[in-house]
Amino acid sequence: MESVKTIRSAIGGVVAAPAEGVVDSDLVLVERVQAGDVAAFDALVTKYRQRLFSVIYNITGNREDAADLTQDSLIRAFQSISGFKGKSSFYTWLYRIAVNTSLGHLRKGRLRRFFSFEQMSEDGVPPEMLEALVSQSRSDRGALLKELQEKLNEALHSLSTKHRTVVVLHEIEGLDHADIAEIMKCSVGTVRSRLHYAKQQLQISLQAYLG
Amino acid sequence: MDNTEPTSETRKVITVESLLQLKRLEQPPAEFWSEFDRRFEQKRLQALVSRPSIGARFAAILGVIASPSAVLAGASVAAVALLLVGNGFFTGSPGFSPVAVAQSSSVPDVAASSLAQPASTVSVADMQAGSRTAFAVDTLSLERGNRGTVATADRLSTGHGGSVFFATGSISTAASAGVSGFY
Repeated sequence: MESVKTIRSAIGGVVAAPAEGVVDSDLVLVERVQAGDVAAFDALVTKYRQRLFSVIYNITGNREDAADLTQDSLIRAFQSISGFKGKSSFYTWLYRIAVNTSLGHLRKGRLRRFFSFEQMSEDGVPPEMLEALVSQSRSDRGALLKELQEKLNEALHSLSTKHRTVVVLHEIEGLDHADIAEIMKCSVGTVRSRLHYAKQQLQISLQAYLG
Repeated sequence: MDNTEPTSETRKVITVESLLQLKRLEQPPAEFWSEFDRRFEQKRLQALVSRPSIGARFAAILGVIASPSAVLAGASVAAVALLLVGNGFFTGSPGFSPVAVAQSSSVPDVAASSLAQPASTVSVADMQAGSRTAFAVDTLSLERGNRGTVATADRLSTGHGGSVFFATGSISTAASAGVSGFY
């Protein structure tokens, strides 16, 4: 179990939900935007664009769509920030816009049908995990990672959009159940249930890599 | 390539959760963000200059109209207006007489003359004489036949014609500013 924790901490990239101080600084920036300071919104964009892109990219599975939808989500946020009352944290509000934008486009079927994934770099994979994967495979490391990436995305996209969204927000983005419930406007119990079911499905799809 | 069976330790290392976290590694290159920012700025400018479509505005108005409180308020206003106009019409109150309006000395010449002829006969020269007068003529001509409205138009053209014209302009400007401010 310890090794899993080590792997989790070793994999960098997108981190979990912002700390409390970060949330406070968000509110300061939001208040500045509400007072007409557009530059303050740019600071929020710079801060959250990568996370939003990551969420949308993992929901849609397409880099170009993810870029478009991230921009659209940020525009929507900019347009409606005057209505943000601070009842929830800014990032859950922003994630909610991003998730709704993505799910709306998925429902309309406007997204590109082919997948165009970002390249997964070998550098970020924890060595012990890479060794464990290589030990199970006949492929070399590069080919193995490419294959794993494809299988991961295939497994993720075999889930329904709601189940996929919960997995993306919890397992990839590191948000807690309460935040996800807030973002998806459902109960914490529903989030847990979706997560449990989704993991069961992924367990089956990724069985070959789990040993 | 080593093809040994995975050990129990290996099984512990690779879990669904740890595999999913590999997705964090799928990050776009640094140059992606400069293009992203450029496109975002373009979209933001487009959003700033574009106004809601007529359909969207109509839908918004309908949304307001369709709300129960708005329906109730509208019905109340309409009932009171009908009562007042109906009362004035049937009792022949001078306050509602279009003749009295047309003969009022305070009505500008062009506006007054337009009451005596159809709107189409107002000359171009008259229209060019000033937007204020043209507006008054237009309003009075268009609204002829509606007694209450003519009286209102008369007051506006004689006392506040210019204000009305500019106020109209201000409303549209305010709407634009509102949109800009909103964005």
